[in-house]
Order: sequence, then structure tokens, then C-alpha cells
Amino acid sequence: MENIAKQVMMLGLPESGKTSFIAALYHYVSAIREGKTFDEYKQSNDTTYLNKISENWLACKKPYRTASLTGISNKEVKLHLQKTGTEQKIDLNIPDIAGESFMQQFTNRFWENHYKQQVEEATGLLVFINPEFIKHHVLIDDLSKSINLLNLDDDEKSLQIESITKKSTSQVFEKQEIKDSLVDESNIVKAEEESSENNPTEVVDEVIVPETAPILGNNITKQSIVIEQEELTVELQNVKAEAEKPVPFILEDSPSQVVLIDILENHREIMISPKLSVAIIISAWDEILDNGIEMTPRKWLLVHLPLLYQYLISNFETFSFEVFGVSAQGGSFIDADKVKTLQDFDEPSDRIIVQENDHKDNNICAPIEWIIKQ
Amino acid sequence: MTEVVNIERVCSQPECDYNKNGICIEGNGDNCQFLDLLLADNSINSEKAEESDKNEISLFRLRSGKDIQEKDLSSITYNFDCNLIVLIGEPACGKSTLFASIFDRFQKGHLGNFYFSQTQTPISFEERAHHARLISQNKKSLAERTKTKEFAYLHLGVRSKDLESQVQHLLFADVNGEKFQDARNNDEEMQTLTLLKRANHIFFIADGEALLDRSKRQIVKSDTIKIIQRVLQNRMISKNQKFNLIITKWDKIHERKAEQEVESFLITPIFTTFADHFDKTIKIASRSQNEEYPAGTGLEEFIVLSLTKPMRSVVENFELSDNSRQFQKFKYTSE
Repeated sequence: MENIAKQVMMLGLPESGKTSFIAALYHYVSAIREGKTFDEYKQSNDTTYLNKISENWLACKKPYRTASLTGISNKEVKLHLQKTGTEQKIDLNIPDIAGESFMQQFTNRFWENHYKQQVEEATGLLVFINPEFIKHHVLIDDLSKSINLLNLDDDEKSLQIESITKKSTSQVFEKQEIKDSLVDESNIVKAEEESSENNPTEVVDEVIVPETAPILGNNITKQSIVIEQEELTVELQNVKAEAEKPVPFILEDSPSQVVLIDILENHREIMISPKLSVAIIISAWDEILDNGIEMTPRKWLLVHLPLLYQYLISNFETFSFEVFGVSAQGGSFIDADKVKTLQDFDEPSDRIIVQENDHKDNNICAPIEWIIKQ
Repeated sequence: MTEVVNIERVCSQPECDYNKNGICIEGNGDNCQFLDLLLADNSINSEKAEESDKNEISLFRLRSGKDIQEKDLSSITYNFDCNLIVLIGEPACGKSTLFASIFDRFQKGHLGNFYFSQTQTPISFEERAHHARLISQNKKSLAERTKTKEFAYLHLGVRSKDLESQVQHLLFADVNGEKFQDARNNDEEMQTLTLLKRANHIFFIADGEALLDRSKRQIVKSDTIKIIQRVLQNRMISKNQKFNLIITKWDKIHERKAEQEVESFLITPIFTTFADHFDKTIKIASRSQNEEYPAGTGLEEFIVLSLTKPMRSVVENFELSDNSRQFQKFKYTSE
């Protein structure tokens, strides 16, 4: 039987779980365990990268970041798989590309030509979304509406809105403290008195500046204080005006679902395949389950990323899609207690969680299997 | 479009000395899987190099995601049957807010009976939506002022929720409000607005909040009537082409119980004076906090109207411009 060559592209913004998925997948297909749908029938020529990321995964350590400074590099991952109990062999190529690269596709608007070739040949896409790192848009009006429900008076409402919308004004307060210390007449008078007592013949213009105004040094005249006061008042106004200025539009702050639909749209246009199979992977799915959220992954997508959901469903002629909840790690590698629990598994692949519709198991091949079946 | 760039290779493994002395800990040299490619500063060379070395990479340029310029319109109209929508209004009357709020609305879910389907200008929508977002750190919802004095276009594809009809495409023409001020004041400027003749729908837009302000409402009314008159005087539309009127911030009008007042002050006079030319009025509350007029009121109606195909092919006295030879075969003659 002839081997089938398949290229599956992984897409996802930074820290969306791509490398953990590959590490878990590599272990899963090469592990000795029952009930697997795929086995690795031979090892790739070069498994250095796979072994490195797999070691971290096995030890429950945070994965290597596939960080790229340009968005134009990727790690070739080749897996030679055989469907369990059959002769069907699939040579899978899944380049592991840094999430930053995908963000830069959105901001810089280019692809490496090599990447374009890979996309053209791709059978399907694995799109990774980590709920923890999704950027949502929040409208000021929505915030105001919520605050309106709190039964506050107008001043309190205004304060609430300002405290949430405005960036830290610590810089303003710092300047305000300096100004306050200068305009506090009693400090100056007191200093003058102290000065006169210590040295009656000393010119009254010379004062000891209180410690609360350290930037002025120790020998400053009243006149210079007035000048400093004026300068600082102007500076304070400038700082306040600066703080009042709205933050300019930054492309990188665009909502995740807007970035993802743009990336997907670019892929859709380039792919030769008339219908693109897209497996959406909601990663860190254990967090969703631990929070007691009883929701299928598809429903989760509809609720949390409605623009992306609408995009996929309204283009059904060119996309077939399924949504999977996947915890490739089984839990957080930051939480020490959780790590201990995860390390206690005799077979590490048992800690993998994969949910499709209402069905849960450890089969991390499921999204790839789904793509191949389309 | 393919371009060539210079790159540097950087190893991502902290324990590797490749970045210091070029010696790869894995022994794989420049082909190591742990190498990332770093784009050198100012390295993009738009002319493809004849010979490339190992430090050059060819890039494929994606479309900008920003406003589509007039000269590039064919890239979209060639692929899709689009309805061209023009909103005519004074500066800050709410044109950009309307576009932004449609995209914002889709980010929360479907808009009435429509699903979002696609856009080739996501960045432009995001830019226009920015000042209404918390991230802008504005105290109240504002809109990005359109700066360009040349028409730029936003693209939006929508599909009815039953998915039975095809994706329908809209092109929203956007321009600085000053352009319309100039056109209101001057025939020559008005005649530059040739896209009005190509528009499938033309909406005159009036700021509802300004209509509540005694010091502004007469100006709003006068400006609206003057620009309508100048559009007609310069025959910028075909005979059967209809206008629509949009009143923004209708929630504020409702809060002041001024609906009837606005009807009799602006809407009725316009529909009476220009009875042959106006079709519908849409009352929009894009950013409302009023329960009776929730945010997004009127947006679906605007989309529905924008998507309808006007019966332009049956226009009896369709006048062909010099450069409209391509339409000759469709010319209707009553003889």
C-alpha cells in the first residue's frame, strides 16, 4: 500500500499550545499503550527538536518557546504514522511555527515564500487558541452600562470609569507631591524661621528647603522656588494632558478573533484544496473543565469567539471545521502541586485530555485523524 | 508579490554558543532546527535579486488589511458582486462610528439575521473602532476621524443565518467629512464625487445629538438640504436612484422624548421637499446605553437596505458617461 503524504499546518498566536501539542503527540504515537489510533511506524531522520520538546513535556516543564523574531522561521516536524490495525501509512509534516510569526503575519503582512509553498500543499489546519491569552475588545459603553447598574451617583460613576480606563497616573501624583511640597507656605516659612534662628545675619532669601522637595537641593532662593513652581506647574499640566491623551491604536492589541480570521482568510486564499479542513483546538482545556464549565468545545467557541465562529460557519463551502478541547499537558506546569500530580502518572499520555463534542479521552491524534478523514 | 530580504540566524537554545561564535551545540550549523531567522533592519528589497545567497529570503506580500484605495478596487469587485454604499454627512456626524459599530457588533455575535462572513479590511475596521474601546483609555466612546480626502473603501461580507443565500458583499466608501462640506459649497467639488453615480445606495446622515441642540439643529438641517440640492443640481445620480436618510444617536432623541420634534423638524420637510428622491429613514443608536434603544439599534436595517439591489437596469433615461461604453449593451430604450 502506498504511503499517503499529508501536510498539516499549525496556526496559533503566541503561547496558544502548539509546541505542547506536538510534544504530546510525538510521545503518544511512540508510546507503548493500548487503544491508540496511530503508531509511529518509523522515526524521522532528525528528531532532535522533537526529543527536546518531548523531554520537557515528559518532565512537566514549560515547553521551549518557538519564538521567532521575524515570523519567518519554523521547525520542521515529520511523523511517520500508521493507522493501528491497518496497513494505511501517513507521512505527516507539521511545521512548528512560532506564535509571534502569526501575529507578524497580521502586523507585517508578509509570508516567507517557503511558508506559502507549505500552505499551498496543506491538507488541513490545526488552529490553536489558548483561552488564557485571548484578547477581547471591551467597549467603553459596555463598561459605562455596567457601572450604571451599580446605583452610584454621577461623581462616583465618573471616578469608577476613570479609574478603569485611565492608565496609571503615578507620574502625575509624583509631580503633584513635588508641587505640593513647594506651595506649602508653612514649610518655607518654617524653613526661613529655622534659618534665621541659626544665623540671624543670613539673607532671608536663602532658605533651607524641606526634605520633601529633594530635587531642589539645599541652597535655593525664594525666587528660584517661584520659577521652579511655575515650571513644575507647566510640567504638571503637560503630564496631566499627556495622561488624558488617548492611547493610540496599536495593531498588536487587536482582538484575537480579528487576528485569527485575517490569518485564516489569507490561508484560505492561498490553499489549493477547494475545501479546507480546520480543526480548532481550544488548548489548556483542563482549566475549562476544572472551572466546572459544562460546555462542548464548539459551544465554547460560539460563546467566546463569535466572530471566528460566524466566519467558519458562513463559509461552509470552503471550510469544514470541528472544535476540540485539548489539554496536551494535562494541567498547568507552573502550579507545583499540579506538577507533582502529573508526574505521578505512570504513562504520561494518560494525562492528556481531548474532548470532541461530549466525548472525552486521551487520543491526541483525534484532530489530525479528523483532518485526514475529510 | 515576492520580495527579497536579508536575514540573520539566531539560536533559541540558551546553552548554545551559536550566537557568539557560530558553533552549533547540535552540530547542525546553519540548518539547525533551533535557529530562528531574524529580519535585518531595512532589509526589504522590493526588487527580486537575481542571485540569492543563504542570508536572503524571498517573501510573499499579503494584502494590507487596510482601506482599499480607488485604484485597487478591482481586486475586490473582480471577485465579488459588491454593493457600493456611500454615506454623505458633515464632519463628525457618525459615519466612521457606524462602520465601526457594525464590526464591533459582529464581534459579539450575529447581527440580526446576518452572520459575519469576511472582510478584506479588518485593520481599517479596528482603527475606526479603537476610540470606542476601553484600551484607548478614553473616558467616553469616540470615533476615529477619517483623515483622507480621497475615498477609501471598507469591505464587509455577510451571509443570512439560514445560510441558504450566498455571501453578500458591501463596499463602504469613506472620506473625510470636509470633502462633503466642500461639495456642498461648490459645483466643481460636487462634480468630483463621481462615485455617487456608481453607488448602489446613498445615505444622507444627520447627527441626532446635534438635532437636539438649539444652537446646532438649524445648521444640520440647512447643511443637509443644501448638499441634497447640490447633488441634484449637478445630476450626480440617475433619475430613479433613491436616497435614504440616517439619523444617528436616536437613543438620545428618545431619552429627550424628541422623536416627534425631529420628525417634524427634519425628516418630514426633507421627505416632502425631495419626495421623488427619498426612500427610507433609518434611526440608528450605535452606542446606546438605553434599554429601549439598545446599542446596535438600526444597524440590521442599514445592512438589509444596503444589501438590496436597486432596479437600476430599468432606468429609462439612463445617461451614459463618456467612459461607460461597457454598459452600452445594457442600455434600456423605450423605442
